[in-house]
Amino acid sequence: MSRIQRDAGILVLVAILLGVCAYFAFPLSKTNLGLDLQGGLAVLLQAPEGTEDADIDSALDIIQKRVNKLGVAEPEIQRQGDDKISVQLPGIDNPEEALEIIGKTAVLEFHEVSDFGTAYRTEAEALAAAGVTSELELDALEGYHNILHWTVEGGNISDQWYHVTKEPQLTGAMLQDAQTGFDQYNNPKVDMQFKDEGADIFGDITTRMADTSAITGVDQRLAIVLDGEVSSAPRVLEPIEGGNAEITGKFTMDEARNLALVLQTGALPVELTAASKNTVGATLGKAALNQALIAGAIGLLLIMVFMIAYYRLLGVVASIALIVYSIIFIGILNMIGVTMTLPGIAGMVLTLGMAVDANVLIFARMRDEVAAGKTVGAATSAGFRKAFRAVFDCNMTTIITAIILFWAATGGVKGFALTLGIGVALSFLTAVLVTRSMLSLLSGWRPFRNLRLLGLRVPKTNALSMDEGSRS
Amino acid sequence: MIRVIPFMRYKWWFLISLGLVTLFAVIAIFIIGLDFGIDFKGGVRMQVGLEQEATVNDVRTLVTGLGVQDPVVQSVSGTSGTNSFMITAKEMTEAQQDEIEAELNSRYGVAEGSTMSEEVGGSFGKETTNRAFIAIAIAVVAIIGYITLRFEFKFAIPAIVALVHDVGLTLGIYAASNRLVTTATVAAILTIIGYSVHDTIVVFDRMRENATFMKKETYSQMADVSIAQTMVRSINTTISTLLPLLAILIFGGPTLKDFALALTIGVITGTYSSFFVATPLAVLWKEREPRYRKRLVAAGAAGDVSVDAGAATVGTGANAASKQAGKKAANGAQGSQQAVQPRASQKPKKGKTSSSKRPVAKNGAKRTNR
Repeated sequence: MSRIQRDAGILVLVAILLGVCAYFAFPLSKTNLGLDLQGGLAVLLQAPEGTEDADIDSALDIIQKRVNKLGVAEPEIQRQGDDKISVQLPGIDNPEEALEIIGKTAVLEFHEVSDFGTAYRTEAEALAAAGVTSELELDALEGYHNILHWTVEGGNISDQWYHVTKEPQLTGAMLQDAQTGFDQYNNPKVDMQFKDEGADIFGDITTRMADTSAITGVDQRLAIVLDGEVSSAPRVLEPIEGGNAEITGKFTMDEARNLALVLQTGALPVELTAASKNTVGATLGKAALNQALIAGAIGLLLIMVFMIAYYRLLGVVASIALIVYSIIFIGILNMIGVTMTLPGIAGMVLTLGMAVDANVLIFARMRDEVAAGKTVGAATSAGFRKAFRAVFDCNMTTIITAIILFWAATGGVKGFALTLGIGVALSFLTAVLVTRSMLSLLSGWRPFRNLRLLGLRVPKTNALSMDEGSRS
Repeated sequence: MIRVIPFMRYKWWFLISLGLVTLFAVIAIFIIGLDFGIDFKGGVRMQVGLEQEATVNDVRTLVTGLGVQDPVVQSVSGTSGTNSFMITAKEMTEAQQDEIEAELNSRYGVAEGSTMSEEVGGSFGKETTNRAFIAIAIAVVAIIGYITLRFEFKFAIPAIVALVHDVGLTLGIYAASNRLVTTATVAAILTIIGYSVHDTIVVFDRMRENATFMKKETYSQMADVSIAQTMVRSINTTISTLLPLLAILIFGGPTLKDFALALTIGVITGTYSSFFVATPLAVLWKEREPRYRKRLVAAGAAGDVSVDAGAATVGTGANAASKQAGKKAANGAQGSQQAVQPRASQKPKKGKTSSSKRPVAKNGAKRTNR
C-alpha cells in the first residue's frame, strides 16, 4: 500500500512539475531564440592588449547603454574572458549599422586649428610644413601639433590635412546631451550641450578665437574631431556662450541620429575591434528554426515508433516518459531564460536518444529477469535496481563532457553543451523515476501482466529454461 | 538463454584489424590533412539566398571578379532551396561583401533576409583551436578519473583507447572526404567522447557485476557473457540515438547536418568499439592478474571448444542465479559449479573458499537449468 502511495505521490509531483513547465514551455514561441534562429548580429569585441579591467567594465556599461537606446528586444551583452565583450542582438533589421554604433569608440575632441587654419593637400605636405618626415618624429617634437585628416564633402570631395593643437581643448566627457537637428540648409546635424564646466571652457576658447580672428583678420577654425578624424572645422567668428555646439556636415539623417546616440552614451575607454562577427538574415534564421523543429519532431516520433514496436506497452510507457521529459526540458530552459540556438536544438534532439537509453537499459534487464522466471512486478523492481548503476555512470560521463564543453566553448557550442548537460541530467530523472512509478502502479492492471504485450516475451529457447525452472 | 558468441577468442583479430583501421585513419588525417574552417584559421564566410537559379561557377566567377582572393563557393540548402550559396574566403572586406551582394542582387535577385555573414579574426581562431584541444584533453583526463573511481584503472585505459579509435575514425573520414572542420565538429567530437565511454561503461558494468559471481570462468568467458547480455541493449540504444540524428541529417539545415554527420559516425563506431576494442583490451590486461591467469591455464588444459560451450551455459545460470538469490538459496546444493568444475578442477578451492551467498544460490539455480 505504501508503495502504491509512494509511486502515486511521485507521479503527482511529476504532474505538478509538468504543469508548471508546460505553462512555461507553451506556446513554443515563448522561447528566446538565438540570432541563428531569428536573424540578428553577434559580435565579439576585443580590447587591445593590456587593457585595464575597469576599462572593460566601463566599456561594457557604455555598450549596454547604446544597445538600450537602439531598442533591441532581447540583447545579450556579456564579458567574455579577460579582454572580450560578447554582444548578441537577435532580431535586429540592420546588423551592419548596429555594429557601427556599438563598436564606435566615439572619442569626441575639440582642437584649435593651428597655422591660421592652413589646410594641406597631402599628409606629407603637412608633415613637411612642421619640418619632419614622419608622424613619429612629429610626436617626438615637444609641445607641437597633431596632424588630422578631414574629408571635406562640399561640391568636390577633397582631402585636407590640418595642424591642430596637440592636446584637445575640450572632450566629449564634458557633454551633457546630444540630439539631431537641421541646419539652415535643412541638412541633418548634431546639437550638443555641455555640462557647466564644459560650457565655461567652450565659452573661453571661442571668445579667445573670435578675438584673435578679429585682430588678425584671419579665420580661426575649431576642429571637431571624432575618433581621430575631423568631423567638421567651423570658423569661429564670435564667442559662443551657454554651452551649445553643433556638428554639421556630410550626415544623412540616420548617421546624425547614430552619432547623437553614441555621444549621449559617451566614449568607449578603449578602442574595440571585432574578433569575430556573425550576422544572420531574418528569413534565413526562420528557415533554420523550421528545419530544426521538423528534424526534432521527426526524431522524437521515430524514437517512439521504434520503442513501441520493440517494447510494446513498455515502449508506450517509455514514450510517455519521453514526452514528459521534452515538456519539462523546454519549460526549464524557458524558466532559466536560456537562449535557444541551432546547436542547442541539436543537443536537445541528441538527448532524446540518450533519454531513451536509460529505458532500454532497464527494459533489457527486465527481460533478463522475466527470462529467469520472475513475475513482472519483481522483474520491474529488480530491472531498475540492477540497471541503475550503469545508467548513472553513463549519464555522469556525458554530464562531465558537457560541463567541460560548456567551460571551453564559445557562442553556439556553449548552448549545445548547456542543453546536453541539463537534458541528460533531466532525462535521468524522467526515465528512471517516471517510468518506474508508472510501471509499478500499472503492474496490477491485466495488460501489464501479459509478457507478450509488455514486449518482455522471451524467445522459445528461453521459454524452455523458464519452464524447467518453475518445475524444480 | 542468450547465445554467447566467443568474441574474446578472436580478440587479437579485432584489436589488430581495428588498430590498422585507426592507423589508416590517423595517416589519412596527417597526409590529407583536416580542412579547418574559418572558426580556427580566421576568415570570412557569407551566405546568400538567390531568387533565380545560379551555378557555383557563376557565383565564383562573380566573386573573384570583385577582387576576392581564392574564394570557396558552395551550394547549400537555405531559404531559397538549393539556390543558396556559401562564400568563404580568407579575406573579404565589408565593402567587398556589399559589392558581392549588390552584384548578385542585380543578376539573380537576393532573397530578402536570406543573407548571413561571419567573420573570425585570426588570433581569435587560434584561441578557439587551443581551447578545443584543451577541452578534449581535460575531458579525457576527467573520464579516466571517473572510470578509475567507479571501476578500476584497467578499465579506464581500454575505454580511452576505444575513444581514440572512435575519434580517429571520425576525423579520418572528415579528412578523406575533405569535409570542413568547424566548431560544431569539435562539439560533436566532445559528444562522441561522452557517448563512446557511455557505451563502454554499459559493458564494463556487466563485467563488474558478473565478475563477482562467475568465480570459475576465465575472464574471456566472463567478458563474452557480458557482451552477449548487453549487445541487444547497445544495438537498441544506438538505433534510438541514430534515429533523431538521421532526422537531422535529412531535414536539418547545413549547420545541423555538419553536427549530425560527425555524431552519426561517432555513435556507430562508439557502439562496436566498446565490444571489439575496449573489452578485448580490458580482458588482455585483466588476464595478466594471477587469479585470472590461473583460470586461463586451467581452461586451456580442458580445451577451448568445451570452454566456450560451457561459458554459454554458465552465463545463463549465473545470471538466473543472481536474480533468484533470495528465493532459492535454500535449494542450494551443487549445481552449476559441478557442471563447470571438471574443466576447472585444478583449482576448486578458490571457488569454494570465496563462495558466499551468491555462489550457493547459483548452484541452486543452475540445477533448475539442468
